[in-house]
Amino acid sequence: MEAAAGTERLAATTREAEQAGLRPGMTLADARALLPGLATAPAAPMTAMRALEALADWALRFSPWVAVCGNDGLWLDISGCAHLFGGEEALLDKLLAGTRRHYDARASLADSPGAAWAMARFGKGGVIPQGAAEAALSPLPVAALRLDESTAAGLSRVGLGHIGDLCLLPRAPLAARFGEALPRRLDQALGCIHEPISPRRPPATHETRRAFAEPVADSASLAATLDALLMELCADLARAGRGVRRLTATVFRIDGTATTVRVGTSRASRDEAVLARLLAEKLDGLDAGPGIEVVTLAAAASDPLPARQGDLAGARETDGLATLVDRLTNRLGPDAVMRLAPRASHHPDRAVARRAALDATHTAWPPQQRPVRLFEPALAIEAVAAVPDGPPMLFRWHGQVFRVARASGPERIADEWWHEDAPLRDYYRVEDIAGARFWLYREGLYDHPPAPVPRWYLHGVFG
Amino acid sequence: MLRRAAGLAALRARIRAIELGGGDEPGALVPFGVAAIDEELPGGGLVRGALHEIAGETVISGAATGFVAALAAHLATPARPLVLWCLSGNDLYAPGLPAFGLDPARLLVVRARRPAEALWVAEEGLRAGCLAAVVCESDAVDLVASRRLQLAARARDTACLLLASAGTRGAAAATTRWRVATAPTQPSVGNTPGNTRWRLTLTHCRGGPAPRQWRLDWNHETGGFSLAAPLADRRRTARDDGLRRAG
Repeated sequence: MEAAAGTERLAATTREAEQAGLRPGMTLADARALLPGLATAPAAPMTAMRALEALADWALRFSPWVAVCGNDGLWLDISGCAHLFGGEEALLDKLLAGTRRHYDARASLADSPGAAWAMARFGKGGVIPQGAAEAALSPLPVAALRLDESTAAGLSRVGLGHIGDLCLLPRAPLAARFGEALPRRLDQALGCIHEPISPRRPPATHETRRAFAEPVADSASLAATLDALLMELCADLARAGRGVRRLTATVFRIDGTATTVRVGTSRASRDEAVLARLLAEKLDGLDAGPGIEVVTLAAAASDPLPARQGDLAGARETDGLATLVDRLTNRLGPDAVMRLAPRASHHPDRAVARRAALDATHTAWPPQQRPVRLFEPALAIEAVAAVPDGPPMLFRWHGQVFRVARASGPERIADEWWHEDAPLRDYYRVEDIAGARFWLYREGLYDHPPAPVPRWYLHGVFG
Repeated sequence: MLRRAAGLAALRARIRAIELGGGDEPGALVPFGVAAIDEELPGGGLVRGALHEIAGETVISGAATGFVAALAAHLATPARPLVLWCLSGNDLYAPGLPAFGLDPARLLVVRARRPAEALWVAEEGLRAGCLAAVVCESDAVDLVASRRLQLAARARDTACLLLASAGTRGAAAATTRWRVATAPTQPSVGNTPGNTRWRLTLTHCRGGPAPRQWRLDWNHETGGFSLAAPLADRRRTARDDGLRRAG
């Protein structure tokens, strides 16, 4: 029930309530008069809409072209899909069987969206054979033409209660009397004019799908199916001169759930072997659940990829690298694979920038003596220096004492001027008596507080 | 005479290949350029398509890192310039690598979250066949894993350099195992740290003698290995002396 204009009205009814004479739009008082024991709940249009959208996603297993119709229906354009499910009747049965697990639903399949809409809501549903729309629609009330209430009421007043009555009449006077919408709806329902449907999700231009006669639960069959689909997809892409950038594989299980696996490539590819390996990695942990009935494989994003002779050694090497990077990235995430480039910063912690893994631009590194391992943050150590401004003679780290044999420095590194409060650092390269080389620094200066006593840190080790 | 010598060399190469467990064709060899070391290695150099383990002697060994970087740079060729470095931590500092001849621009850095993941990355890198070498920082290499890496390295002739911490048991299937420690450098003007010097121990070498120890200098300017002048190795033999003169 929903509240509108001060009265509470029924928003939807169950089948049982409908049999007792209740209709959506009836006021609650009227409904209670008819059926005193009526149980009601507040309408939740948002929840209902979300459920409908979920159902639309579920219906993608039957066709890539699914649209939400109003707040209580779905359109499916099944052109070219029916044979995958064993014919139109079988498709409709499967659709209804799946939907009725959770909802009370009716479905109809017809030549035009308008006829299907009318038959599902006002007729007996089912498949309307090609060319039989007029005969099937004739006995239905005019409201089945998706007319507004006043038009439908006006038609009833003049004795035109059924669609069949309208079919006999000339269109021009109808339009003059009841508006342009009436003849257009009539023509749409009869399939005389085309009515476009916009899908909820734009379907991928390159998509292949396979529906199984029996649910499949073993991974070997699934892998074999995906291989076959991949071959079809690659052939399709080759004809179009395109390559995959993002591949999505969706498995639809018989319990109504679906899982989508996404694989990205760093450059357009239609190499079956490469894509199959990328995909296989992701499918490893895929749960088949009670069984998979439909599998789709789509190039969700593609780039132009002209046909090419692949025998140049250089090209093959970069291809190998791109393939490697794709495999690593798809498993470890895009942040885990990188190239390094120098960054113009005095601060050692900020001297390295990350680049994309396939970015081969070359930048020269400044010729500085730097350690091969850098500790971040630097490790606090206790150090003893002969003179306050000099390098340490010995230092203690992790309970171990290192005696400094040689030292060079200081290399004074100050933070950039916009980091105002950071103290100066004097870096020393020191070598202990065993030959191990360390990069130490003293933070702060003796004659420049804030720090009363400068502290020593171990920042890195040399090779 | 010459032909006989050539035939003998070919025969030796085949025997070595069989000893290394591979097929008939010997893999490419990369000599150090230091006669004393190359003579000890079967065939006269490091086998490119094989697993080599390099361990430090301290918990965080800069020496082992530097040696691995130098080795990786040494293995790179114009056709295969790239090196994959699989990190286990985040302490590798790229600005320090050019000193060992390894330009960080030629480095593909991969960060693994788990030891098993690092091994997977290494194997992928080896099997890609487009890299000069794969450096893998990992201590969790058991017999099976090391065997896998060894096979992958041989399959595509890509070196696998396993950078292990001090005190690990060692990768059992590795062709060579090295231990790298620092050595005091040559005194220089102003008593400042000089060029890098390592105390390099070959602890295991399949088909060759082990252990062997050298003191090896790395020349930052010329980018080459050289033997540190006076050896403190007491296990020197007359043969070694002869080689040293030749080298």
